[in-house]
Amino acid sequence: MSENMNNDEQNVFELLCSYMDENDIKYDRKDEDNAVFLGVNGDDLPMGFGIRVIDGAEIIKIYSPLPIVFKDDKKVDGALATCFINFKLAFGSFQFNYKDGTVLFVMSNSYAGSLLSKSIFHYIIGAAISVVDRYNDRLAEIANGDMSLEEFVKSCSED
Amino acid sequence: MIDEDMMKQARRVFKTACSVFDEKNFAYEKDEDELSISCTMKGDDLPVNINIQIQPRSYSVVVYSAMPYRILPDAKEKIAVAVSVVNWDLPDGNFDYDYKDESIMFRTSLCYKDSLISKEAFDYMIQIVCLSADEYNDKFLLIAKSDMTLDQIVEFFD
Repeated sequence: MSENMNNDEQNVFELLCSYMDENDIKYDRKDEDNAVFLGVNGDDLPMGFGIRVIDGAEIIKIYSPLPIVFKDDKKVDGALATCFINFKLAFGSFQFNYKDGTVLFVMSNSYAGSLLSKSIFHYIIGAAISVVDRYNDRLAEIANGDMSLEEFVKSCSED
Repeated sequence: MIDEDMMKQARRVFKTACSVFDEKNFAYEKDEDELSISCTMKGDDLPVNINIQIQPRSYSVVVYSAMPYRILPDAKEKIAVAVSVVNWDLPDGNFDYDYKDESIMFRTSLCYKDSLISKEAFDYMIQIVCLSADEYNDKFLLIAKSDMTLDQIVEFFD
């Protein structure tokens, strides 16, 4: 276990890249930001993820912008829908930008003073992909007016 | 199913969490079977309760604070917008608004699988939860009781 563990920004970033390489996950690397980017084919919508190791706060941040915009007449639905989903989540949340109607999934994991193993990345990246894939299509349907908020709530409650 | 390794890792993390409270001499309650901790802190306006729940099956810790009030249904849209606006600018963690249960809580979490999680990490999460809950608990209550428009709510947080 000790071979895979480390606890500062650069080491955590290298551990992340090492996990990606060992699992043959294709990604783009941006060393100056300690960030990687990857695309994932989901059940419905394509997904893009950024994973960044942030010094200072000592957190690993995973984020995924959804290809959705809620227009003005749907913004309240967007706020209510993302609130409804977030309360069901243990990790991460869908952040809804009420000003421009966009949605960003965000998840963070502190590594402050800790010794991490690669297993963490398997869990948190897997969790992020699973959550975004589960809800992105239904959020898109509300944004497009193809699903009402009530139908959305009913659909998510049946998960 | 929760196996022996899951429980071993969970108990280790639970022990670390308890030690954070012990070292700071915070009064707290713990449930060693449920692997949970709770504590109430004095906030600027309203008390801030802190809860820590270890979840062995998912190798995770959730640190959260429930707002000490209920949000009536007529404030649903205002609070959903307020929570969205606040969450967008938070550096970490988020407010969860359950409009069916009429409750708001602030949450942050961490995965610890096969890792050694430090007291520092718990310190960080507890601080984030305390500061965020204390900063916004009175504001959400004010908005819920007000007749602000949705645009005014956005401006309120600008």
